[in-house]
Amino acid sequence: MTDLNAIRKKLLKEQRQLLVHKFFHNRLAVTGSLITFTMLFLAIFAPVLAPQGPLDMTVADRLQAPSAAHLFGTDTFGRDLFTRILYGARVSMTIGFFVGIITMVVGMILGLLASYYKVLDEILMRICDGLNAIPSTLLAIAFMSALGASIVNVIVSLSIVSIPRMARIARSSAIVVKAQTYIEAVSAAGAKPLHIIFRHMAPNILSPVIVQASYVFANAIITEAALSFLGVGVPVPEPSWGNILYEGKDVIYNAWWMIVYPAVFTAVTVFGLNLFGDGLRDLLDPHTS
Amino acid sequence: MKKYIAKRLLAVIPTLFVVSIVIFSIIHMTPGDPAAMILGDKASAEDIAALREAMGLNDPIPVQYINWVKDVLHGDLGQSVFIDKPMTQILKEYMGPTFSLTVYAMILATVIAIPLGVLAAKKRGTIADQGISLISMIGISMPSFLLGLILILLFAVKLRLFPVAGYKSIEDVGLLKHIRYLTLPALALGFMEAALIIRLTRSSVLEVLASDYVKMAKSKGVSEFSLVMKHAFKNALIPILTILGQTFMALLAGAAVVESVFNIPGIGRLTVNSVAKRDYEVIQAVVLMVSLINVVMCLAVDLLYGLVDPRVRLEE
Repeated sequence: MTDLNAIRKKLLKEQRQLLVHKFFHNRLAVTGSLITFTMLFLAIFAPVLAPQGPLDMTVADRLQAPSAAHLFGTDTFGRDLFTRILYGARVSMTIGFFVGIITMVVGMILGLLASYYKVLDEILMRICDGLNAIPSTLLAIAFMSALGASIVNVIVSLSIVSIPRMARIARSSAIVVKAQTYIEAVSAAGAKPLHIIFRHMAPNILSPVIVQASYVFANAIITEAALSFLGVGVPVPEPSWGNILYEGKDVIYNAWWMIVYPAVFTAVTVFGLNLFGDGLRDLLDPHTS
Repeated sequence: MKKYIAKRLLAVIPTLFVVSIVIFSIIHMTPGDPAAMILGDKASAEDIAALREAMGLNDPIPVQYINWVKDVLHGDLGQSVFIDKPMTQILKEYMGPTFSLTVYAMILATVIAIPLGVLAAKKRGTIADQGISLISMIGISMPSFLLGLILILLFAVKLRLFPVAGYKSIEDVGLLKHIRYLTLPALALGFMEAALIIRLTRSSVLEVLASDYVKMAKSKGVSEFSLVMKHAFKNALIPILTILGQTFMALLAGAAVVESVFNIPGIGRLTVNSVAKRDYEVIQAVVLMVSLINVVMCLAVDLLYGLVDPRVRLEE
């Protein structure tokens, strides 16, 4: 047994198996991932699953209660609500996913750089403080008012408001990592700063960053729904859970289904993502739980 | 302590600088000419030019920024295009309902959440604890406007216990009716924050209960009740106080959405209506005011923190 690489591979494999084992024994985490993957499935296969197009109107069938023909009923324009909620899942998932990824990448880069360069640290953290001082929903509304309602602008606005927090989390983990002996060693061996930061430090701050990204994902879905509900998010007639609720509010006396179904989908999705995030945290980052 | 206060005060300056830059930029983030955006498609070229001049948009951006900061420091928060009143008066009028709603939600959230959090910590691992955890998990996943709509459906449309929407001020209808109108909105607004407070109280009390001095008190025979109330809760209070400050701010900001659900004429609805009308200066003024309240609030909590816990001010 002189082949060190084989031993190392075996160890890594065992470690991975242990993680997977632990994850599947956390009931909440499994529930959370089941919910999340179901929603992703619905979002991806919406065109196949939906009985009709999201914009198909049958005016004669407007505000029909749930029935065999229309599982979740129809809306004010006689559009099938089940279809629109499936397509709404696409919008929510797309926005949540991109906001999560963008926030993660940008926040991580900023946090890493801040942990390494003292001057940059001061500047970046003051900017984060400033952005944090403005309540995020209000800031998102203000950005949307200037940029105009569209899916891309929702992603941009929500990323901007979530990055400061992510940068802080990445920074505080990176500072811990930077103080470790192995960083000193690579540095003494002549590695360049950027190489040290992205090659040696970045992989070791991934855990808290990924956990935070799952919460950002969940939060983005909530805020998108809120923005669309206020009429400043995803523009109509594109279906989003938020603007279905907005239309539902006007007919709240006649059409409970326009409130209940989108509300349940939003809440369950966010619930699933939060459970998933908690499970991930317990697994990857046991110190914080 | 003096040094601590001075340091905290100084730290506010860069924060305010960044806040001012962000709020100032809002109007310049519009695609194209802000004046043309405000006046809409039908505006004539002369009107647009006049508004550009009035808003000072022809100056170089740094000059505009300096002028804007100067105006703000003199208490001039800009001019609404649609409401013909001084901005400070507009803010004052719309702030009343928002403040009522926020305070009411805050009271509901803390009165429900803190005892539940303490209970969950005391009964750790039992069904009660798990039940409370589940409630708080649901609360965290339930955005206020969703809950608001569900509450309207249930308690106003079906059971007819509360009004569907609207707002009545204390001066007009008295306290009881005022509260009746605000109860559903306050519940909707406060639930998510209550969920967060439950979680924090629970972990905070648990941490204290596991500490050596509590174990010591226990071994001396201090009764369970006074152990939790006098020893554990008191020390768990510091992080809880910090969270209360943050909760107030979260509620104040969250009110924007809830006000739109319940048609309450507060600053949140003012903002949303201003977005539709592209009344950017109103949006700027609201964001500025709320951010200032936030900064002052954080500062106050920080100072209080230093006062309560000497370790905080001696750090660094």
